Amino acid sequence: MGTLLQAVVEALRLVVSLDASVLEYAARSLTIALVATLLASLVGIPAGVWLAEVDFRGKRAVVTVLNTLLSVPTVVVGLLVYAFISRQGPLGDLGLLFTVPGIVAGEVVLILPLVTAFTLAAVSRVDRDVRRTALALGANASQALQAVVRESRFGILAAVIAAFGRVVGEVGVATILGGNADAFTRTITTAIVLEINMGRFELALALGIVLLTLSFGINVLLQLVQGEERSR
Amino acid sequence: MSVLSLDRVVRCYEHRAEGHRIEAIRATSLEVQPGEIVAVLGANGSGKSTLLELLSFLERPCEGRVLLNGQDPWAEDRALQARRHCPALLQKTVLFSGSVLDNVTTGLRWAGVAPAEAQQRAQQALEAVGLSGFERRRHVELSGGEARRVALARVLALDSEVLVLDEPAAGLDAESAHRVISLIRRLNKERGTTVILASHRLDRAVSLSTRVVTCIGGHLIDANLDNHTVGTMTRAEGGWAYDDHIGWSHVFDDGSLAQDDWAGLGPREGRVRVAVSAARVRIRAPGEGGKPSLRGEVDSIRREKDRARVRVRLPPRRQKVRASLTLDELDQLGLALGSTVELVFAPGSVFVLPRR
Repeated sequence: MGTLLQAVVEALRLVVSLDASVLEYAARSLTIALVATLLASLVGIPAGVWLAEVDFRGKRAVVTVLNTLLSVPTVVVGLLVYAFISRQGPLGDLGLLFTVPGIVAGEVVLILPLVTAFTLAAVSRVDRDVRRTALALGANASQALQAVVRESRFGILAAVIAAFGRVVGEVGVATILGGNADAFTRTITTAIVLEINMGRFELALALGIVLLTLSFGINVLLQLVQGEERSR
Repeated sequence: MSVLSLDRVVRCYEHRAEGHRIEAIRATSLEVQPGEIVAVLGANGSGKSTLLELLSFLERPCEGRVLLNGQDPWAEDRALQARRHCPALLQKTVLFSGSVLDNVTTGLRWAGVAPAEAQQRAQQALEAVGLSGFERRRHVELSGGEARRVALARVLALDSEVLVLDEPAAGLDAESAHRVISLIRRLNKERGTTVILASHRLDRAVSLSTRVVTCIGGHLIDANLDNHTVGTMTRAEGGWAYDDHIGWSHVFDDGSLAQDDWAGLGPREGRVRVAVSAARVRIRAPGEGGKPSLRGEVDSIRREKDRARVRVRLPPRRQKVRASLTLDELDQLGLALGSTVELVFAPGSVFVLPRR
């Protein structure tokens, strides 16, 4: 008990004193999460809107696959992307393996289904009635689509925040594709795993506290967004 | 020339799971003249909303044509222009997020109206529905009735020649409903706006119309076709003679009934489905002779303030037909439960429905 308490005190000290490596890992984690979320949103949001709008044979199968992808283990995604970007892989020449862009690529693959599926759900929820109301008021096709997307914006924003949260706390993809190289690709989560293995419990705990704070921030944001949606 | 007309229109949905087509409405013909107020009456699920979606060019018919001023917008790829010509207030109130003013100017912005003019027209429309001063309210701060009136103002602001209104007064209190009805009447009178409105019950909305058509079980019954299938009543006939909820007391289906010329429809082959308007069914003592009639037994009598509602059971399949008569008539006939009576149908009160 005494050691745990000591560890917590030491961890808090590391956090408060802005320990250089803690800051570095946190900054890297945030950067990766921001860039990956941005890229996944650029593709996933239009894809989700498109899926909600169009009707084609086999759409249900696509949606089922999409929903299945939501629960694919991160290590499996890491493995898959590894196969593509490793030296022998089809994209090996890009030299992405064990780099931050490599991690970002993996995270994008991981959260793209999430952004797409949640956007699809958000748009479908408002689609029919809003679209018909817009058309009945003389909207053209793109104006009606704008109205639909506008009304589902909070759901879409929630999708983006959820995707961001998934990347920030993710360890499988970051380990496999990043290689956990200090000063290059180490993130909060991979650092925690490493520090624990090395017996540096305090540092791991300090990183855990930072991660928890980040998650907490994301959740507060999500709550605010959902609260806004309820009251709009 | 008609503003809007339906030419052998069928609207249907693909039933995905079972892979067949479901017909939502079949309308042989309907002609809406400029300046008319046409009320579409029908129970829930009778197809009247679908009919209005066709008339506002929201839905494309799977058969037949919907014509706007004699042109077929769907064939000419002009559905957008047609929608702008005939904007609709849908049955379900959906406001866009934002302020009341944002909502009412939305359609105008889409049509490319300059912001200042849009705002002015929106304010006029809000005033017309009695919501002046609500411009800055957010859509979540409105009651159901206020939201309905905002939705109406949103359509009115477009200043169109044709208005398609699906239950415009639904969910409104008596005062607001009255205001909305007067507003429609005024628009029609002052600007010659053509109005098509749906209602599931006989209310003021119907009373202001110049013509009533009825949807029953996915069929539109309109007058101008054939005297046998016909069912339009006009004001000239002396008020609106519909039953108080859906207009039709009854739809029944029996081969044996069709054998007799009981409704003055002339002999008909096989089974027919007919609709009977309760308020136009008369009851008389048996054996009086005269017009062809149906004989049945009184099943129930309900006295109300100034009228009585009598239900008569017809023998072949024990179908029940309701009739409405004055208290004097009831006393004169000396009706009691089980009395044998004859039902007489006023000309034009019985409608033969197309086959399903």
